[in-house]
Amino acid sequence: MKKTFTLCMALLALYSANSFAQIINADQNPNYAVSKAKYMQLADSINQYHATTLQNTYKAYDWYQAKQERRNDRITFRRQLRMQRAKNNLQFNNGWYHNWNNGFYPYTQFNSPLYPFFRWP
Amino acid sequence: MKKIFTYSLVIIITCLTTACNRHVTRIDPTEQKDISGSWNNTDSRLTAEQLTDDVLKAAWLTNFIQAKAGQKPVVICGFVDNKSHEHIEAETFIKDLEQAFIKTQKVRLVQAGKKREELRAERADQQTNAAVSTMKKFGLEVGADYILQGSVNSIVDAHKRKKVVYYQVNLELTDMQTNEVVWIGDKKIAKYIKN
Repeated sequence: MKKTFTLCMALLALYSANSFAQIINADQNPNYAVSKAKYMQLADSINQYHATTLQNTYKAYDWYQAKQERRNDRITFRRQLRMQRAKNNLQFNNGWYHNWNNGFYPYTQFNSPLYPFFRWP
Repeated sequence: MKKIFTYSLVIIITCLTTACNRHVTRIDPTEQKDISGSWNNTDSRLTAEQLTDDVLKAAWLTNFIQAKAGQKPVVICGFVDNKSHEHIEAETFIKDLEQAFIKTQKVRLVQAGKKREELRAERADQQTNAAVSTMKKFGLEVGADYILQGSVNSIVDAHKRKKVVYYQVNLELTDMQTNEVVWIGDKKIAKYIKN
């Protein structure tokens, strides 16, 4: 009986020593468990970025590049305007009435209702 | 007259066909070819060369080996934060660095990120599908002593058709237990670009 009790006590002591192995270091912060609990929750979401490059890039101002972009924007805008104008003008032509030209603004190449299909020589 | 016409036709056809052809030639990856002035393979290679040289010659390695009685340090690769104005993939020079760790046999490397996730998933699969004699166990991974982290920064100074771009690539090794930074390496690249 005494032998069994001693064995149980030894096992219990071993288990306790194993469970509190991290407290053995006297210098360890006693609140380490708070941080541990917090980061055990976050570990998976943070560690998935390991060995990757996080792209937090910014757009640097470059005079020449900005000029090119403005030019491209202008070209795109004018093209869309021409398309829209042509579309609108052709839409209102019902054979009797049309708003192609009321006489105030003579046609040029770009405001012609037929622009995409016909260009003035 | 007919002869001239034939010759002209031949010349025109030759010009047209050759103009439409795309020429691709293999070049040496170590050859410096700057086209747009952006970050390119030469920058990546120069960064890898300098950082590899720095990290393997720095004092942290000898200090660790002395403190741990000849054991090699284990390193895990964290993430690199690209805070520059361009898309830069750090893996190109990080892989060169990792390759140097393994080739020189001075530093041990453990897998990180998604590849580590895949390994664990495969290990989990083995628990139910592999023969017991070949099944790999959980909880026996090697813990890293150091984590490698980095950042890429840039400064752009541009006016009209002239531009100076400065890149600074920093890599740091930090002790996993104490958070002590034991090594910081950098590579600085400046370029003058005229459009």
